[in-house]
Amino acid sequence: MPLMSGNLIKNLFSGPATRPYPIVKREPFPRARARLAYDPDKCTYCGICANICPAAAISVEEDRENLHISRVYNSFACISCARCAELCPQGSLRMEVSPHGAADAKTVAYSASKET
Amino acid sequence: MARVTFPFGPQHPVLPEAIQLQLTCEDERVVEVLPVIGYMHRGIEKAAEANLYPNNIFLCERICGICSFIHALCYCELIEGMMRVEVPPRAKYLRVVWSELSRIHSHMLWLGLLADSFGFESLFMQCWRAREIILDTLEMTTGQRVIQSSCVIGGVRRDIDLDMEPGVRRQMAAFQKELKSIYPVFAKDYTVKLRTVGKGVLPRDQAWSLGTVGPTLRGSGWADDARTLGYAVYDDLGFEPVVEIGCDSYARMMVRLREVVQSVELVIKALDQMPEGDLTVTVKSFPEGEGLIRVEQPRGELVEYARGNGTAYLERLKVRTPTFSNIPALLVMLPGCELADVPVITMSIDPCIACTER
Amino acid sequence: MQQVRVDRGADPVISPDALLKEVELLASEGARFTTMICLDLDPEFEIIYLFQKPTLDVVRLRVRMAKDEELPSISSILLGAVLMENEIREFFGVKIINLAIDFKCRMLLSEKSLQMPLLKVRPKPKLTGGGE
Ligand code: SF4
Ligand code: SF4
Repeated sequence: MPLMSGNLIKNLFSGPATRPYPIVKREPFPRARARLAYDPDKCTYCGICANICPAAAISVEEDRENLHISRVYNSFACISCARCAELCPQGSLRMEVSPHGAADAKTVAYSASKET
Repeated sequence: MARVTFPFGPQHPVLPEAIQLQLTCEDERVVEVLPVIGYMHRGIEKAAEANLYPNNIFLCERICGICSFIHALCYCELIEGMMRVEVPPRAKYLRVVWSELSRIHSHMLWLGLLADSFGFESLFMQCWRAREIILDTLEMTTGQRVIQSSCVIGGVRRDIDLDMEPGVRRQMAAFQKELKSIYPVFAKDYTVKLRTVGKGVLPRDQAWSLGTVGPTLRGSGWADDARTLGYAVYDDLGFEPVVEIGCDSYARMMVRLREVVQSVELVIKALDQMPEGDLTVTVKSFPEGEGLIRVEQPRGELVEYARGNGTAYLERLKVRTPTFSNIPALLVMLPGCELADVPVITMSIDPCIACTER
Repeated sequence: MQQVRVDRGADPVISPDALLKEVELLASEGARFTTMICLDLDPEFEIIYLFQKPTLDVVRLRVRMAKDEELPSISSILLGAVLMENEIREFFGVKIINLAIDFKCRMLLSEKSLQMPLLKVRPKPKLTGGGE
């Protein structure tokens, strides 16, 4: 014990090492990968993101007769690896740094090239 | 004397993961032990055959949560070796930085859990608090705390640039300060010594013949470390394995403690020597033939084998994780010990069951 | 620098009968068990044994066998091999005999899971109880 007592006394008089979470929030680091943001307006439905996603969280389906492509993003399957965000040629995918609300904001999101 | 057989685990406060030890006791003394695994099998080797080979990086990372970067590095180095891709030097240095940071955070986690296993709660908290600094460094540089996803075939995806480097150095200095207050407690404290010295003895020759790896082996006096094989840039950094000759739990603890100190130095040295240059090279071909690689993880030597057939899918990926070869050591360490020492001895091999079962 | 690519032709290929003698020889030279890798090269199995010499070098040994042949366990010589032999028996259905500790194909898988999952060509599954 004696070797630890120095630490213990220091800890006793310094403040807590943890944050009172909902009141004080930690600033996320600028590079953090927390949530995938998608902008359907920029998307050209090229399907690159669906091909390279390691978790198969994105799928693109083509309906040639009606010239209609639909894209499905399943954020429950997404592992936030940011590969799609790096490779999207249109820059319609982006990684957001803030994780807040991620758990309840998870959905399966649909978007399509032409509204039907 | 009556013999009692009872299960220790799979859910036990001291075990971080689910493993069961069937202990047979005479009074307080353990006479027989049978480890039972199989609670966490996920079929990763099978899944690796169904995935495109670049996507397997993310799968391999999930074999283990603690040493995820080193799993990714191992897989990338294996595929690069099979395809004869030369990685840019800067990427190699960055790989060393991140793998040593992973090693530090794994060892700090383990040191905390060891302190917890003999009931030294304040030391446990102190270790995990120090580990938080490392996790923050990892998040700052790669984007995520535990699953870094920054290694790709042909290089790395993230850079520690000039803006970030002073931050990393500051974090390392802060960590060194924390470590200085923890180190003597583990090394010299009376209660810690009472619970670890002479417990779970693994004699030198048995440590070798049972096939143990990593700190378990080095704690028994063998200077066997896969980093001396010179993957990434360990040979340029003047790496020397840490060896202890005590053969007991204390020796294994000291190996890990000294490795933390050494890893911090390696990180700083790698930052000092890091050359400028590209982060990745483009890789076009597909893996073909067979490849075998050995990489040092926090828990020991990781052996990976892959067999490709010139397509984007691998025919077979085999991962031999370090705990897989350390579990047989329990058959030697546990019989003859007291029941109260079982947690400490079991922890002393640093069991990572999710790794083991894949 | 370690050699990642493996040259298939350089390794000795032996039959299951000769295995124990070879392993005994290696063990007497101070080698220890590292791991073994099973490949399903239909219609054969190829099992690669990896041993480590007291230096860091790895020795490879390949066993070719038909799928219904029996393979003697080396766990009586090197106990460290026992978990891996159990795993191979479970994942590929290789008939390994004389195991030092026998988990009876229930080490990692349960009754309800897919049996022999790593075989390339799987025999027709027998649906017992829970199914796949
Ligand atoms: S890669 Fe980008 S542009 Fe292409 S489908 Fe995906 S989000 Fe749309
Ligand atoms: S972040 Fe990764 S897992 Fe998520 S959708 Fe993009 S590629 Fe897929």
